[in-house]
Amino acid sequence: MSAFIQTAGLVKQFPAKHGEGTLAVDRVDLDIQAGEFVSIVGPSGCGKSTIMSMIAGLLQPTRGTVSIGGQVVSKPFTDVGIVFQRDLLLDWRNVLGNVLVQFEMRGLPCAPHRERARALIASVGLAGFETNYPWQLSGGMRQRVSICRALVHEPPLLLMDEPFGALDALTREQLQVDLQDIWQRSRKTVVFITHSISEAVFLSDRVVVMTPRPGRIREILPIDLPRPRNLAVRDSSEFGRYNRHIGELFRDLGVIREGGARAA
Amino acid sequence: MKRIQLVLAAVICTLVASVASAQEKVTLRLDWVNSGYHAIWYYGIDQGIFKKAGIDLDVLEGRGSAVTTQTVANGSVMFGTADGGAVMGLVSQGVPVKIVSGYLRRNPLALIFPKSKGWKSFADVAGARIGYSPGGSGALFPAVLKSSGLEGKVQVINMEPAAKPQALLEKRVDCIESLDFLQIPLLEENGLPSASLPYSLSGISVPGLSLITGNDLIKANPQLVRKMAGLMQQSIDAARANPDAAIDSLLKRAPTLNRKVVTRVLVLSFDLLEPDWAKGKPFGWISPEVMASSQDLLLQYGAIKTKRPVADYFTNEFVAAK
Amino acid sequence: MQLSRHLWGVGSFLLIFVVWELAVRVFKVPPYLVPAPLDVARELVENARHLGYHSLWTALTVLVGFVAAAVFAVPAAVVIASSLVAERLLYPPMVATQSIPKIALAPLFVVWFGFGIAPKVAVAFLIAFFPIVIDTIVGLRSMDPAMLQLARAMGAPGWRVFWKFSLPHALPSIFGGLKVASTLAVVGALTGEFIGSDKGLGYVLLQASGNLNTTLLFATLVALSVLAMVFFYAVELLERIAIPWHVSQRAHPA
Repeated sequence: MSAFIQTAGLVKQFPAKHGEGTLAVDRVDLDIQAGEFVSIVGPSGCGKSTIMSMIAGLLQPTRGTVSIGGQVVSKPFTDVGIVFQRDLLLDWRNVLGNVLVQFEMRGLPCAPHRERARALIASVGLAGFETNYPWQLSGGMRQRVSICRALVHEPPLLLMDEPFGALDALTREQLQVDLQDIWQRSRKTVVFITHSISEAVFLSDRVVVMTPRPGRIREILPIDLPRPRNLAVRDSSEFGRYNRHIGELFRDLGVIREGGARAA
Repeated sequence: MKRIQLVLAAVICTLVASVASAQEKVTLRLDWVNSGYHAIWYYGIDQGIFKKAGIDLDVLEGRGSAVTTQTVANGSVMFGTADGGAVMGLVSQGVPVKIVSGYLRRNPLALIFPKSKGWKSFADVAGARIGYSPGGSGALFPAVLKSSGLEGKVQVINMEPAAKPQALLEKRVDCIESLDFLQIPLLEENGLPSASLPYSLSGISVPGLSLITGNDLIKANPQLVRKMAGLMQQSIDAARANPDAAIDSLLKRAPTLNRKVVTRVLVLSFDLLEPDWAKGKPFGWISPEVMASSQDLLLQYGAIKTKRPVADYFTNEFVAAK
Repeated sequence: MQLSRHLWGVGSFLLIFVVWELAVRVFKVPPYLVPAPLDVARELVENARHLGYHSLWTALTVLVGFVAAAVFAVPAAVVIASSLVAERLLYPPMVATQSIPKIALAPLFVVWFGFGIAPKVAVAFLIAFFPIVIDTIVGLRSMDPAMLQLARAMGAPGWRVFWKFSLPHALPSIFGGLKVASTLAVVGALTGEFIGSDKGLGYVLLQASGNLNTTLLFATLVALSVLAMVFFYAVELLERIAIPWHVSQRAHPA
């Protein structure tokens, strides 16, 4: 069975004014199955967001291909929901309006989808807030709205670029749990980018570990923890082993350095 | 057949009737915003002088002789009143207008100063600060400085025309260059007895405010031009006979003016109608000799650059034979 | 709470009025220099019709000039913001024209366009144009690029992104430009009237100053500032209606 998302020899080189330019992504091969939750972890500048952009078709690879559902991606892939670190909600629309923007931008009528939008908003715990405006909501609530917007048109694929990075630790944990709930109910394919090792381990079926720039895949680690995973699983020794393993990989790569004088 | 004849007759009758009763629409732009001496025009309209001659006159206010002359030249207005010196300057540059009748032929351009200074000639002015507005009727001033020998001996301070009387009242300048018959009533109303040294004392003598029109109109409709020159004289005569009524006409259009001041300005303007060189000549007649010597003087002092045949600046053909 | 704030405002005006009146009397200031406020008030009442008539003409010039500026400036800004070629072509002449003081152009306009409303509207238009363009460009360009990526992933065509994302996002900036432009349009109309008009408050000012009627001059200035305030607050009202969602429109904490 061929993978839902396939990247083959994906390379991205950003041109520079003088000289060679930056090699951001170096020969990345990924096979992601339908319904899988895959995280990509790595240090800043390792090209994780670049890979996500190429999967979404928002950026053209310098070499290599991306295909989704067997079709090569050569322009923006629109059967997708995207969540960025900034919620990017429209200040001039209320919560319901922001969720429905997904249809408006596609030129589709909103009316048939209103009920589903309301149900989705309720499912993330924001029932009763449909007519509130973004400035009346907390950061966590705004990001939930952003997630609803990404799901309301029922795309098979969800791309998330550090969606909880701007939130405080407690909200972050809550949203991790909520995201897992949502995913379990719908089993979409999710590509999740994060800095946080523990977040990746908690949420994912597999974790892709990236090297610093130029970004290559160091290892793809399957996470064999039973689902649904509750917060208590973080204290289990299994979880700790996965964490440590990935941490060691980063230490080997020089991403985390311990004690003593740093190299100049 | 009979019906068509009737209709045709009706149409012709209507046309003839409308032509006969039609008033010719004429526009005239003044040299500045409404002031005492402009009363002659409004009085002429109110007394029916223009209407009787078949003219529906529309009087428009101006922004200086230069702008008025240019708007007459580009045809946006048919007639204008403008200072002779300003007109000469523009005509020498090729602007296609002409003076068709003198009006305030004794030029009121002068240095105006507090009476207490007691100046009797231009030589007395040495060392003074002079308030001056460039352009338009101010174009003659540099020539006056040269011909009176004051060049380099006085401090010339540029200012907006409206600021000059105030500058004099507050002693920020010792004298101002302007039109004496306008400024003296205004200054004295505000408590400063004043006197003036006319430019003619320094040898610069150009006709003052004059009626001008475009060369095109002179060619296309000389009867109208002759009419207007004559009607201007009639209006002046009527206003002279009854200055208070003339001022009433003015104040109807410009209610915020000071009656005392504008009445004085109007009366003073009547002294400017006939200078010595015009004695015995018809109203509005311009002396070719005066124009020729004016041009020479202006050329000598650099106020104009190109010498032109004197007939380019004015014509006496519309002035009534005495 | 609101009432007491307004009372403070009225009180300060009254205080200035009284101090001014006393100063003029005590120091025997000549009326052509500084008129007494009571005389100015009387002049306003006596000439209410005259001033009202001319105020309406100035208001008309301001309105036409301002609206024309807005109507041309916003699309011009959209073109410049969306096309590098357009920016390189249009920006330099625009900046150059802006640098020319309009008071220098106004006499030229009178000779070209005559004494009607056209030269005054032209000056008002030219002065008001630039701030609207600049602020609109700023508003359009301040869009988060991630937003545009989101829009592309939704498959939205360019015009829809502009209409539903960029333009509403730019509205607060546009209104900033419009507010500045509204007061500048009054300056422009006034400049045009000084140079070539027989109607309008600028004309009344010119006549008053030429006749040393400083009392009328002050009365005209009062009328002028009322006119300018009306325009400014009209734009503010429009802003409140158009962008009630913006942070600048929310109530301040008491």
